[in-house]
Amino acid sequence: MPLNPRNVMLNTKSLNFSRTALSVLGGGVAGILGLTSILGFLFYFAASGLLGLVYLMQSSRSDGMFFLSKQQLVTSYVFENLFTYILMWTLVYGCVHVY
Amino acid sequence: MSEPELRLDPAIRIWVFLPIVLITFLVGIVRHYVSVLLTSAKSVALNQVMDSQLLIRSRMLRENAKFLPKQSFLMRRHHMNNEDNGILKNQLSRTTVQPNPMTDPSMMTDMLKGNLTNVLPMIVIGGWINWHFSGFVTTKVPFPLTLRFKPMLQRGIELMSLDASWVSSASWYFLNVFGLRSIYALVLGENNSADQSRVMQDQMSMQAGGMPQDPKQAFKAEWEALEVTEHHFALKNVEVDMMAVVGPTGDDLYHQNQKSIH
Repeated sequence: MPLNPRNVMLNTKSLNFSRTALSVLGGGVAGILGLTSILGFLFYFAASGLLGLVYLMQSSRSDGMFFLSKQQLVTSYVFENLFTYILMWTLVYGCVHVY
Repeated sequence: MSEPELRLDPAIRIWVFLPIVLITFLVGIVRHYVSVLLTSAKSVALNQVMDSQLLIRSRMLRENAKFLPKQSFLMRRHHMNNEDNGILKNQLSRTTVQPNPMTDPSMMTDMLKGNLTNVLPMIVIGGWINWHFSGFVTTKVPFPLTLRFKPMLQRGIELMSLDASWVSSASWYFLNVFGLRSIYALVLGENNSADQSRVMQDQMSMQAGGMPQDPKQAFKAEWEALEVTEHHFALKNVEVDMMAVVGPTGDDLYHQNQKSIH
């Protein structure tokens, strides 16, 4: 079944949007909790894996295809938003725990 | 959690750490709106629109060909592709003139405006932050880093004994510049022009990607694709299938010679 490229683009865009929101929120949470080094990174990958899982469940419930591949739902934009996560994490961690 | 080995003055947080974040963020927003004000709306030439619509039309025909009867599909393909005057075929023999960006004055002013909104704030704000907030240890990244990161994260403080995960004010600004880009996408929507780091990439690829590519290539690819498209009619026998599902069965079919008992 051919996909409408315009809709796929919109879907990908909103996927990126939710990933960015997740990394901002996750960075804040990790900073407040005071997670350091490997724990913080694990927290980010766990959170984004959870989000991917939720999307996977939602897309398997509906029978249409809305993305180019199932894999894209889980893995795309994870590393693009890692830097935002690190920034927010550092920011909140600095505010709460350093001073 | 262990206490950090350095205690910072809380005034640094209020007057250096948070202001840098705020300034970087707000400057990005201002840049976005200034460039929205300055950019002139790109007018698209009529034949460019015609070209792209023709390509879209041909692609739609290819993708949805299975819903058309064979003759209709062949008719449409003949209209696109026939040897003498098919509309795709005509495009292949068309000669195009590439516009030269250096001689087109509107392109020059666009480039100038781009530089005005992109490069100027980066130099001015970056320089100002460097000068005004110089020499503070602002924060500590919550993960250990090797000594290699010291010149990157501790610009402006030359202390050998300081752990590499402490961040100086100038480097905190650069971290913000690169980290806030996806937050701009969150706040201003996609394709905003607040992002400074994208500008650098644009300038790198200006020579390579600035030109529109030759439309003839796209037409040739589309012509070939349409030429090799095989037609399989998806709706073959569809009326028989439908009648099998929703049509009258033997029981409720009305016959003249059958006595209706119910």
